This record gives sequence, structure tokens and C-alpha cells, in this order.
Amino acid sequence: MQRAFTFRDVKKTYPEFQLGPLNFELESGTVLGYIGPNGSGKTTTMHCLVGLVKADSGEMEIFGRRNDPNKPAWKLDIGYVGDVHVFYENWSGEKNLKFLSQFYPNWSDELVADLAKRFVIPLHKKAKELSGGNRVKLSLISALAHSPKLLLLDEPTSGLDPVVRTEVLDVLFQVLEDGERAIFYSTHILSDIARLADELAFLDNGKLKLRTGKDDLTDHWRKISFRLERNNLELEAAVSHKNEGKDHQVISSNHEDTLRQLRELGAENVQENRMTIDEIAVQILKGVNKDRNHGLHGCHGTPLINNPRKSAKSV
Amino acid sequence: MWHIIKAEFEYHKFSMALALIVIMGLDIGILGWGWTGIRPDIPGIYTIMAVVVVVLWFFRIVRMIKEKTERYHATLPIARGEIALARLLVIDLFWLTVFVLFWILFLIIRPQSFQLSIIWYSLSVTGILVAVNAYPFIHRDLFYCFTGLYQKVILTFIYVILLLLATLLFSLTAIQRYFPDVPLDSAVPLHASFAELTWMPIGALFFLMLGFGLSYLSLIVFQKRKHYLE
Repeated sequence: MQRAFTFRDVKKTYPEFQLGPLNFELESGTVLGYIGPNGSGKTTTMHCLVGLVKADSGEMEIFGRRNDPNKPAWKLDIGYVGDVHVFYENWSGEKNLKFLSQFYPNWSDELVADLAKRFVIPLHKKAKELSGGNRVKLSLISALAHSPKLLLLDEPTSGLDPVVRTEVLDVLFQVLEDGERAIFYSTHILSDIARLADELAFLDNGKLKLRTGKDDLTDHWRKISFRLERNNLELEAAVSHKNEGKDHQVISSNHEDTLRQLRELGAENVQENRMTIDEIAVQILKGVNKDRNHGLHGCHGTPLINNPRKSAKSV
Repeated sequence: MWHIIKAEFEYHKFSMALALIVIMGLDIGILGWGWTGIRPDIPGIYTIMAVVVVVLWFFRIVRMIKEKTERYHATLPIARGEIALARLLVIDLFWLTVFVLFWILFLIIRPQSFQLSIIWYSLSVTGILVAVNAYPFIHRDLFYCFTGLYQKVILTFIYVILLLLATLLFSLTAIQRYFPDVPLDSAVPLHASFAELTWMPIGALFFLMLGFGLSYLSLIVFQKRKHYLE
């Protein structure tokens, strides 16, 4: 299967931050959620890929073509919604879209009209008169109108109020659910992409810490409560562990291993509850923040992600 | 690239139209009737035209920076070199329009005043204006090429020195012409040489080469930027 993009040893260094080296790729037709706290390097990754920032080293390819700024044909295959929405401010949304249409042979005015109707955006208004939410919508229309094979979305709902955010996401996901494009969606709000993502990649302090299938996470992570008259337990795959006397609460990254161990220990009243993707992401990122210098570990030094499946890998 | 140039002309059409009206009005006024009935002052006319174009250029640059236009263009599927060329050509083509219209008016209104040296002067001013259009882009882009504070301080220092020199040179020419009583004995050779050069073919060649050389350099420096975020 053709790769939508590839990062090979990509590095970008700032005075107090280094992104990379990044080595990962995205298969065509796959939706990858790129998760990380503020300042982790998500936007810098996007900027390097679209050529707004020059990486210090490494190579990036989009559908097999290097992202060479002097041979920009690769940009015809991408739709990009950045962290900043830039337009000719004194032109209407419609005029800005007309300007952009000249650069993309696959541009569809019918698609623009359909998207404008679904997003309910006043295209006759000047760009400078549009609200934050409408600017995001205009950016999305300009990114989608030429039916790109790869969509790069950099926190598109950042700064929007909850009502507008829901509105934008509902329409966006309706459009994207046809499953025909690769999508690289960066966010620190996991619920934005949870519905759509096939895979999730966790970035922290410029390093890619984990990449896994979304279902792998929800299938394996559990909150487990039990009674056991014993402290100082060393449970496999336990990410966090609290206890009040005999009552214990554990978050496990591999409930099967943890439950097996609890059975061997004779734990009582064992109950397990599924976790939402948001809850799992918080635990992953908490664990990353706590043990930044030692890699990805949970409490008692156990690996944060203990998943034997091939699709889950620490990177 | 032409889509960008067309868009820029359309986006700035009101300010360009105003600039054109002012320039044409002044040209017709000076060529047709003169300010005080004196013979047409070619350097004076060109100075006014150049000043109006520079003002137009300034307002365009301010708007470009405020609206992050270069960032907008940098995401488009066109080569970096074309973006850099387009941003130069907007003003260069406007000046070319003004240049051609001036000559049409001149040959209609004052054909008897024609001298070959006027062509050299016109070309010299064109070269200077092309250079003035290109240099600030070079200077600004260099700030995006170098990240160190001391490098930026050096660049700023160079820019201030060049600006002072240019201001002094043009001031001397104007002072000598309009205030001949002001003693400028030590500076006379400098500005006289400069003024004479602009009326000579070698001067026209020099200033045109300077203009196109800086324009070419601005294309290179734009592509060397470390980022296109503003």
C-alpha cells in the first residue's frame, strides 16, 4: 500500500527544544491521531511536513515525493488546516476560495457549495469579519475542496467554544467518514479524533513515545478494583495503584495480565471497568510526564504499554 | 505565479488606482503647464513619481506583514522562487506602467524637449527603484535566515547605515538643486558625480544591474529562510 507520508530521521532544533529524530509513516487511507500536550512538537511536525518550517535534518516524503519546496507538485495531494488561518482579509470567503481554486486542477466548486451549506458559513462576508469558528470552517473548505488524498489538520478546533467545536467536528466527520483519505490530525483533545482515528501516536517533548491502534488501547486498558490484605504490590501492567487499607484501585494497560496476577494472589471482589480513550490518553501522558528521562513507564517501573500485539509499539 | 500577481493587483487596486491618478495628474500638470511656468523638470517629476510608488510599496508591505500574506502563499502549490518573484513584480510592473504612461505623456505634450539623456535618467531611476523594492525584502528575509541575536543586530546596523547614506546622497542632490546658496563644497564632488551618473548610459546600466542584481538576490534569500511563519 502506498504511504501517505514518511518521516525519516527528521530533526528540528530550537534553543530549548528539539523535535525528533522522528521516524514514522502513515499508510494511505489511515487516520492517525497525533496526541501530545501543549509544547510537545505537534505543530512543528506539521509545519515541517508542509514546508512552512525547514527541518534541520532528515527527509519527508508525501506519496513517494520529497516535500521539496521548489517542486511543489506534492502539495496538490494535501489539504492543510494550520494553527493559524490566513486569508486575504479584505476579500470575502468566496473570493479567497476563488483565488485558491486557480492552483488546484481538482478543485470542485460544487463541493465548495456543498461544504459551505453544511458548515453554514457566510461566504459573502470579508475574511476579517468572520468569527473564529467561521475562519476554521473556511480553512476546512479550502483544504477539502480539491479532494486531497492526505488531510493535515493541526488542532483545527483549538480556541473554539464548545458549541462551535461540536458543530465543526460533526460536519467534518460526516465528510471524512467516507474512509478514502489519509488523515493526520494533531490535537491535545483526544475526544476530537477518538471517533475517527484508526491509530494514535503520542508525542512528548519532541519525541514520539508510542504508536498504537486505537482499539488496542480500549481493548486492553481497564480500571480494576479489588480487595487484598497486602500492600507494596508489584502488579504487571499497572500504570497507577491506589489503596486504602484492603481496598485497591489499579489502572492497568493490560487487564488480562493484571487479572491473572490478582487471581494468583487471591484478590477478592475484583471488578473491572472499561476506560474511555480520553482517560487512557491522560494516563499515558501522565506517565510520560512523570518519567520523562526514563522512557515510558508506569508505577513500579512497569512498562506503560504492555501490549504484545505488533500494532502497538514504543518508538 | 501570475495568479498571485493578478490577485495582488486586484487586492491593492484602490491604492494603486489612487497612486496612478496622483502620478498622472502631476505628470500632466508639470509637463503641460509646469509649477511656475518653468521648463519641465524631469528629475523633479521622477522624484515625485518614485516617492508615490515608494509610499504605495510601503503600505503594501505593511499590509502583507499584518495579514501574513507570505505564509498564505507559502502553503500554495507553487515554487518558492515564484512566490519571491511575484512579490517583487507587483511593484516593478506598477512602476513599468507608470514609466510607459509618463513617456507617452511626455512625447505627446513635450516632444520638443526630448533629449537622449532623459532616457538614461529614466532607466537609472528605474534601476534605483527596482533596487529599493528588492532590498527590504532581502533584509527582512535575512532575519528569517539567521536566528542569533548578534546576527540580527549586525543586519539592523547595516540597514541603518545604508539608509543614512541613501538619505544623505539624495538630500545632497536636492539641496544643491533647490538651495544653491548652501555651502556644500566638500560634498559637491560626491553628489555631482552621482547626479551626472544618472544621466549617462553607463549610469543607467549600473543602476539597472544593481536593481536586477538585488532582485535576483532577494529570490535566493527568500528560499533560504528557515521558516515562513510570521
